[in-house]
Amino acid sequence: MSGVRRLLCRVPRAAWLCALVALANGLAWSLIVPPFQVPDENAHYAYVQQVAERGTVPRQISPEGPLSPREDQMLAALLTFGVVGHRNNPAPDTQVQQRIIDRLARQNLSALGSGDALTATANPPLYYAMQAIPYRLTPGGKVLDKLEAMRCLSALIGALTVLLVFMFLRELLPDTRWAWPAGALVVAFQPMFAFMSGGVNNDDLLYLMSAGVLWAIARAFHRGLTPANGALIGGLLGVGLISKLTLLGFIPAVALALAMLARRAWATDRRAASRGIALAAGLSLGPIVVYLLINHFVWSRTAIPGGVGGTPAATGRTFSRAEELSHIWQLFLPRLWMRPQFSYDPLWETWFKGLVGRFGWVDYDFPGWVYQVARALGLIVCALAVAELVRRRDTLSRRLGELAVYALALGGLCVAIGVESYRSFVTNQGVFEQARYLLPLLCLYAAIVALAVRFGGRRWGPAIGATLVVLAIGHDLFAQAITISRYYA
Amino acid sequence: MRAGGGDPRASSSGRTLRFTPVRFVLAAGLLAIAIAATAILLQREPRRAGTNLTSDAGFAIALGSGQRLCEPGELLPGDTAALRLSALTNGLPGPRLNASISSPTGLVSSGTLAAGWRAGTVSIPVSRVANTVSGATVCLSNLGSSRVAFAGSVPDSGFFVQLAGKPLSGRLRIEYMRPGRESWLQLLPTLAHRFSLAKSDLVRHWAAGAALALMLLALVLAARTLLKDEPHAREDPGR
Repeated sequence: MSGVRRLLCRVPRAAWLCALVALANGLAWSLIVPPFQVPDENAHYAYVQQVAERGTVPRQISPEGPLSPREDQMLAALLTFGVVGHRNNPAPDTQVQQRIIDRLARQNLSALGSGDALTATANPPLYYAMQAIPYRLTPGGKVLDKLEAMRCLSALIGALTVLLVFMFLRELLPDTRWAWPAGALVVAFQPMFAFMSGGVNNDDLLYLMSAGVLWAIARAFHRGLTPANGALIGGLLGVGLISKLTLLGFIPAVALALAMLARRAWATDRRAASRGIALAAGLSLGPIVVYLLINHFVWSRTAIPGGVGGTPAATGRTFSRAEELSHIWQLFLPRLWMRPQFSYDPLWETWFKGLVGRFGWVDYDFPGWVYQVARALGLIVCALAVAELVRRRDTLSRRLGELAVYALALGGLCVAIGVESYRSFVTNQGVFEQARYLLPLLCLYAAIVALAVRFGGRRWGPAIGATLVVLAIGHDLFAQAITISRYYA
Repeated sequence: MRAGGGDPRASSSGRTLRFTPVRFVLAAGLLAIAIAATAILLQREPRRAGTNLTSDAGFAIALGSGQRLCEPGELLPGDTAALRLSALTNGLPGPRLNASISSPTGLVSSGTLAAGWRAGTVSIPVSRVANTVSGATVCLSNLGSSRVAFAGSVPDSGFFVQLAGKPLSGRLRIEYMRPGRESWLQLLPTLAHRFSLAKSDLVRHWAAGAALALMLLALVLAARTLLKDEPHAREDPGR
């Protein structure tokens, strides 16, 4: 216990302050966004309800089973599906509608559903087990009270994510302390991240664990592969994998990092390096193996619906490995000679515009000029970051391996998203991808900002950092303004 | 130059605060945000009292010359003073339209839009309805000689309108507008009220104030963090 306290005491005060900023911002978003207007929040709530009320995980029921009467009727009273996807339809705005909600909340409807949690059903249970705590602790049976308590936990998870982003920057750029808060604060005010932190969605825990894994890797590159650092990498990856399977995309990067770290440590302390590797491997694989076994033998459900390989096509399309590769490529990169997979440019429409901001159930966004301004600013920030890398090419050449690990984390995540996207495309022609799936890379987003800040040196760097933070604040406040306009005006 | 917002002891001890680049950026940036927010808050436009949550699936409901369309089951929000609809006239000037709103107890409000309007979004002014009316019936009459098509959803399961006396599965999209043009600033009390609806009882009565306070706290903490970690150029100048 004293070890944990010592570790916490070593966290710089600025890191806690950045986390507090993220907590305040996430809580503000949790109050601004109406209930169930965060993507799939109804499904995630249903999963938590299943865990808290029945002590079991959901099971896929075909055709899709109903949620609990308590949740289903509240969704109807909130006119949820009249608002979702219809950007001109506001949230309930009359006292008459409020009375319907109040009347419904007083009825003691069953909190037990069919056992299906819609799109969340196949997810691993960790996030939902955590959310079952505020669910159970909230007195009474009111859906909206429990949802708000759960949103508070999500905001707290978001705050811890920013703390880890700060710690990542501290390990990455140890001699540039004034760049750390700038990078972390830009993340704290990133509107898509804050919007997600204000809602109930297992992506929140994924972001935390992804930031944790990248921090642990940076720490090991900076301080060496000790058993503790190996355990940190493995533990965070292991916990992350039972938060959301998207983190499978980080496995190649973690493997590469461990290989390089082991090679570096082998000459000096072979025993410590071996123990570090063993702990990393054991702690990363342990939880997921246990989860898969329980999933199969106890809960009798599949971890990945449809399996890992080919997937049955329900729309007359056939699964093709070549087309899958082309799909993944085109999802993130220019099409080149390939057969078109998208009628739009995903790099601009999905990823860039989505990260700048597309909120709700992807049903409202900024005016068009905001994306153009963001592109110009983004290019300037990236140019500064690249210039800094070029300026420090000697240092960079010594850390190319570490850079390759981060690049592989980016690539691995893109492949994980692309595989899911293609499966969705083949099975139901649906558009799966959303910009929030890239938020596990928040550390790298912050690193670009920190590098741009560092380019200014001690004299101008802090001013560049302050400029970027002020821009992020303006961006976040603008996003809140369009959200208020969307739901309440 | 003496900068505000820093250490309050500075002025009393006669010490002047250095106007560092970070302080300048923070002051200028936050001032720019405040000016932009004020400009937005002062924008005056017609504002919505509510909608009937019907999707706009195209100009699906046509109303011929002399025909009347009635849409029952509407929740008419308080402070309604106009009905806003999307309408198509095939390039012709729009015909004279009459709107009437009735509740089970009788006529609640009515109004007329003069002929000559252009296709697109049209507002039919009606006498102001102070309080919300549930179960209202909204009727539109085409008093002109040309046909007009309104945006809505056809078919719309569970909803029927009466078009020229015959039932039609569908629903007009209606936006209920508040009187006149209002700035966001004038609308703030209404927004605060709407903010308090359809939320958890634990937070709904203070959610608007809490969101504002939390954002102010975030801004103060962010500024403090940046100022605290600002390197001192005099101690360690340049790169």
